[in-house]
Amino acid sequence: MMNSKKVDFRNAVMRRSTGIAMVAIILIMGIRAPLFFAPANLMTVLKQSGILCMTAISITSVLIVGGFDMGAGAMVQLVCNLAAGMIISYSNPALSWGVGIGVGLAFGLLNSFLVVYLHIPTFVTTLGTMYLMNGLSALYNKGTALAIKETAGFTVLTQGSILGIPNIFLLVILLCGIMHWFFKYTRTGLRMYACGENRNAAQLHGLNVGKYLILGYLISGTLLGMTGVFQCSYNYGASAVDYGMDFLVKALASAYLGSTFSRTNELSMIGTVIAGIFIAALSNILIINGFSNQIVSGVLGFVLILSILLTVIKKRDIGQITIF
Amino acid sequence: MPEGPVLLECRNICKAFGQNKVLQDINLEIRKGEAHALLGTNGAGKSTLVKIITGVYSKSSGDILLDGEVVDIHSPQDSERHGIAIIHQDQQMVPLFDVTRNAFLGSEITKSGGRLDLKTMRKQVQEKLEFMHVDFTADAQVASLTVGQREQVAIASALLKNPKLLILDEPTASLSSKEISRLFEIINLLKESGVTIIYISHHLDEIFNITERITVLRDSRVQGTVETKNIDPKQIISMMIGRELKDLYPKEPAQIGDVALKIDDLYSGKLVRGVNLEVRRGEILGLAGLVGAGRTETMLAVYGAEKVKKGNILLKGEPYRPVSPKRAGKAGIAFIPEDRRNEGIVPAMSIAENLSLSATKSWAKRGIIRRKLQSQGSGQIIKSLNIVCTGAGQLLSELSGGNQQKVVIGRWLIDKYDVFVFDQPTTGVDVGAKAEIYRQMVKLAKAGGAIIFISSENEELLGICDRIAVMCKGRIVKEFQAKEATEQELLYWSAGGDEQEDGNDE
Repeated sequence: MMNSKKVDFRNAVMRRSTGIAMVAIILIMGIRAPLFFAPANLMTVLKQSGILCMTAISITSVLIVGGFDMGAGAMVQLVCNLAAGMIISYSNPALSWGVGIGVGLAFGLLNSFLVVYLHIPTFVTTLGTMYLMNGLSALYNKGTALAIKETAGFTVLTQGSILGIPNIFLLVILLCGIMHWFFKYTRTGLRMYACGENRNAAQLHGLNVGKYLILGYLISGTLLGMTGVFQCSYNYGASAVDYGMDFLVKALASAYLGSTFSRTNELSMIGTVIAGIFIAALSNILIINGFSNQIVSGVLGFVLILSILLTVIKKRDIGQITIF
Repeated sequence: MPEGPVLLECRNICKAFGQNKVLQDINLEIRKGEAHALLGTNGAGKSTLVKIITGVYSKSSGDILLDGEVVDIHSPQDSERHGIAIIHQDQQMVPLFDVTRNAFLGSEITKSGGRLDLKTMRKQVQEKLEFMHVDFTADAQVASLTVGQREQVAIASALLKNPKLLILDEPTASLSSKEISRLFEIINLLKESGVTIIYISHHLDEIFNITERITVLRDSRVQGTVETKNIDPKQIISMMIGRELKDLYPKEPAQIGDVALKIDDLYSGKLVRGVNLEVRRGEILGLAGLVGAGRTETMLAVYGAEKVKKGNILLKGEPYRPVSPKRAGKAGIAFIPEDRRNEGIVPAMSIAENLSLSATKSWAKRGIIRRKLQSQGSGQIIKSLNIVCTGAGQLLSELSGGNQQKVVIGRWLIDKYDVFVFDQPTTGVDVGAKAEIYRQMVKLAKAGGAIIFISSENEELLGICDRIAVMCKGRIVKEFQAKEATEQELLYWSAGGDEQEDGNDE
C-alpha cells in the first residue's frame, strides 16, 4: 500500500469531519436561535431524541447483521396503536408490554422467514411487511387517534425526569449500553457483525449466516415492539397521522451517520445514538428558526444521502462496498 | 529422504456430480512432516479432492485414513477436529475486526454467558504471530494490513487449532515476490515444528522450492506421485498435460500474406516513443520486453484506448486513425486484454450468454438473438477452446478459473477480425489451458489473421511466434526470426541490448 499514509490522513479527517460538521452546523444555526442553548430546551431535545434513538438502535441491530428493515417506523406505529388500545380497554400497561413485544417478535419472525427461508431480498420483504403493518394500524384505530390519560407507572417512564434529566434519555443510554456490550463483547454479537460485514468470510469460518440474520430480526423486532410501547407512553396514546416513513428515514440517517464516526465505517450503537441526538437537535433548531416540518423532512433526506455517501466512499477505500 | 510414517491416506476416493465424474480412484499418501504438492491443470480435480479432505464435499466412495485409521469427515468441523486446517485461495476477512477477532472468528473462546475472553484469545494469537516473526500485532485492524499480512493472519488463525495437516490452496496468487519469500520462511518454520503441508500451486518454481514430493492429477485421476528432487519441470509438465512438452507449442506453418498492420513512428503517452512495426496476415508476431517497456501501451494506442501523439498507422493498406476501441473493433482489430478475470464475465449467466455479450453482429438479427446461431456458435467455441463444462447452458460461476478465462477469449472468436492482439493471455493459466490458447492463435493465423502476442515469458514466444520484436523504453530495439533467436538474446535486448555501445542519441 503505497499511499496508505495519504489514505490514513484522509480517513482521520473524515472520521473527525462528521463530529466537526455536526458541532459547526448546530453552532451556526444556534447563533440565529439562541433559545436553542437554554438548558430547558437542551433537555427537551434529549427527550425528543428518545424514541428516535430507540428506533435507530433497533434498526442498527438488523443492519449490523447485514439485513435491512423498511418497516421499522411502521412497526413502532402499529405497536403504539395496540398499546394505546390495551390501556384504553383494559387500563393494563402490562398487557401493552406483552402485546407490544409479542407483535414485534412476530413481525421479526415473519421478516426473517421471508428473507432467510424464501430468499426474498430484504428490501422487498420489509417493504411488504411495512405496508402490512400500516394496514393493520389503520384497521385497528379506524382512522382516529387513540388518546390515553396519565397512567400510573406508564407515562412517567417517558415523561418524567430524574435530576432534570429526562427518564426516556436515561432509558436510551441504558439500552445503548446493553446493545453495545452485546455486539462488542459477546460471541454472538461478534458473529453477527462478521455476517453483516463479510458474508463469505463468515461462511468460510463455519458460521450459519441465516441463523444470525434471524436472530438480528428477532432482536430488532423485540426492540421495536418496546419502542412502540414507549412511543405510546411518550405521546399519551397513538395519533392517527402516519409517521412511519418519517421515523424510518430519521432512524436510517442516524445509523449511517453514526457509522461515519469510525475509520472503517463500522455501524455502532454509540455512534447511532450520538447521530440520533444530532438529528433531533437539527429538527428542533430548524423549527426554532421558523422552518416548517416539511422542510425538516427535506433536510433529513439530505442528511441520509450524505451519510450513505460517506459510507460508500470509505468502504471503497478498504475495497468493500456491501451496503444493500 | 527416509520414508516417514503416513499421516493422511486416501483410498480409492471417487466423486461424481451427477453424470460428471470429477474424481476417480484417487490413492494418495501424505507422509508426516513433508510438504506435498498437489499439481494438475484447471479442472483436474485438485480443488474437489481438497474439499473432500476438508469436509466441504462428501465423497461418493472410498476411505480417508488418518494415522492409519479410517475417519469420517462430513463437515468442515469434523476435519478440523481431526487436525486438518486449510488456508483458502482468497483471504476472506472482516476488515473492521482486529487480528484477534478475525483469527478466532467461528471458534471464539468465551467466558460464562457467551462473553468473549479477549485477553486469552489475544495472547494465543500473539504467540502464533511471534512464532511466525510477523511485523504486526494481534491488535492491528485487518483493514490496515496488506494482502501478504492478511495471509499471515489466515495462517495464524489456522495454527490456533494446532493442526497436524495444513493445506495451502494457491497461497501466492496475489502476493508480491517479497511476500512469497516471507511465506516460504513461514512454511519452513511450520515444517520444522512438525506440521505436514499440502501445497497447491500452478507455479512450478515454488513447488520445486519447498516441497518434498509431488502428486499430479489429470482428468480426475492420479497420474503419479514423485520425489521432487528426482524430477525436472519438463517431466512434471508432461505428466500434467499427458503429452510431451514440445506438443505444448502446436506450431504449424501458415501462408504469410499482405501487411495487415503497419505502425510508423508512433508516439503515445510517456511509454511509447517512436515505434515502427509491421505484421502480416498469417503471421504471429511476438512482442518481448520487460514490464514497462511500452508494449501494452503501444497496442492500446493502436486500439484507440490511449491517445496517439504522433505517427502513422496503415491498416490493411489503408490509412487508419485510432479513435475509440469500438471503432477499432469495427475496423478489424481485436484486443484480448491482460486482466481477463475482471474483464466482464458475468458469473450468473451461462457460457452461451456470456459469449453472446460481444457477438453483436454475428448472432443477432436486428437486435434479437437467434437461439440457433447462439447454440451452434457457442458449441463450436466450447469445442475449439476445449472448455471443460457440461454444456453451453452451464453457468460461468460453476467453471474453474482457467475455463472462465477461455470463455473470455472465446468472445473474441465469434466476429471476424483481421488483427488480434493478445496481451499476456497466459498469465495465471495452467499449462493445459496455455496449450489451448496457443492452438487458438495458430488457428487464427492460419485463417489469415495477423497475431500480435505480447508476453513476458520468452519461452512461449520462441515456441509459438514466427517473428519476435523486442521492445525497450518505448521503442523496438531488435527483431528476430523466431527460429534464429534464443532466450538469452531476448533477455539481452529486453534489458536494453547494446545501446550503451552504440552511444545512444537521446
